[in-house]
Amino acid sequence: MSHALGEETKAEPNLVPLLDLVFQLIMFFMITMNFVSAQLSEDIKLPIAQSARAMDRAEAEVLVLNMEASGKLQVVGQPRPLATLGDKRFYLRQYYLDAKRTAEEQGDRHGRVKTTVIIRADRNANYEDVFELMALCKEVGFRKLQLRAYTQMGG
Amino acid sequence: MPVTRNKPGGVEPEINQVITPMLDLAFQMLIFFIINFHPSQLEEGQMNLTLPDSAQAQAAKPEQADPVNSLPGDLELPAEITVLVHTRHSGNAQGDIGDIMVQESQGQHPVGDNAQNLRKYLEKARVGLGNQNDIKVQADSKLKYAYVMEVMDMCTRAGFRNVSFGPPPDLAKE
Repeated sequence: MSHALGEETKAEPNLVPLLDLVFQLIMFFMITMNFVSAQLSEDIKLPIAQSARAMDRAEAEVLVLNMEASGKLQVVGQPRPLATLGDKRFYLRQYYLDAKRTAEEQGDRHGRVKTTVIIRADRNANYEDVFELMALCKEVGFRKLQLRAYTQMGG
Repeated sequence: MPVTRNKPGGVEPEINQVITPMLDLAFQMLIFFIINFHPSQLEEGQMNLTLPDSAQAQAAKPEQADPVNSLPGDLELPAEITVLVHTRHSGNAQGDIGDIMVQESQGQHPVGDNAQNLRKYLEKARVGLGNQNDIKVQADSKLKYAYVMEVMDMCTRAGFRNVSFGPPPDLAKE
């Protein structure tokens, strides 16, 4: 790389445009990335609903419940899906009490739980199981509930 | 940043920006984000719903609902119109829509087995209602969730804002 001889021409690749492109791609993937996605199960095939609205990402506290076609519930932090009504009730109640305690510690005297429960049920699940879960959420004390669906056939 | 020369009139020192490690890092990040990228999540949308009435769920029949056990806000704005969805119980069609009935104050009206017809019917029926926002869906216990969502979709598109769910009527009979 010395210029002493004055004859050699430099053959360095110009990496700057490549780097620009790579950063553009990184920006794209960062923006589209959903950090809640750890809670979303990929093997759930959601139903399709054209009137489903775009997701509201402002919700800070969410609990995602993934329901398999068999009615079992996949939740974060549980190695096995919750199968029985008793297990589901126990899990939801524990979660609710934890959320309530956190709210109280943060200065809300009434301990109001702001958690939104998101139900992602498989399209082949029975209505019975989905209804049971919704009723359970209400029984435990959650006030905000949301269903998920694909907005188009692509799902 | 001023560039100083070592010796006046001597060989200019090369200012090499070392961008290779930066590029390495950028590729690492790129790979991380590509792996975590699931395009299907971009198509996901949300449907808000009114919570089912817990007192009704326990009572299994709306008439038996105990107002005392209800949570605040439960029995407000009762829906004047209920969509009953019955399912098929045989063979391959297990869990499909069998027939749809719309229950109004005047009685029940069959709508057939097509959700599109339901939408047309609801759009007409909604005009005469006092409460044009609330509707209740009660489906058979074995109906597939995909069809429940289809019916909910039709109710929303017919103009009802709050769709709530009632207990499966076939379980209540048992």
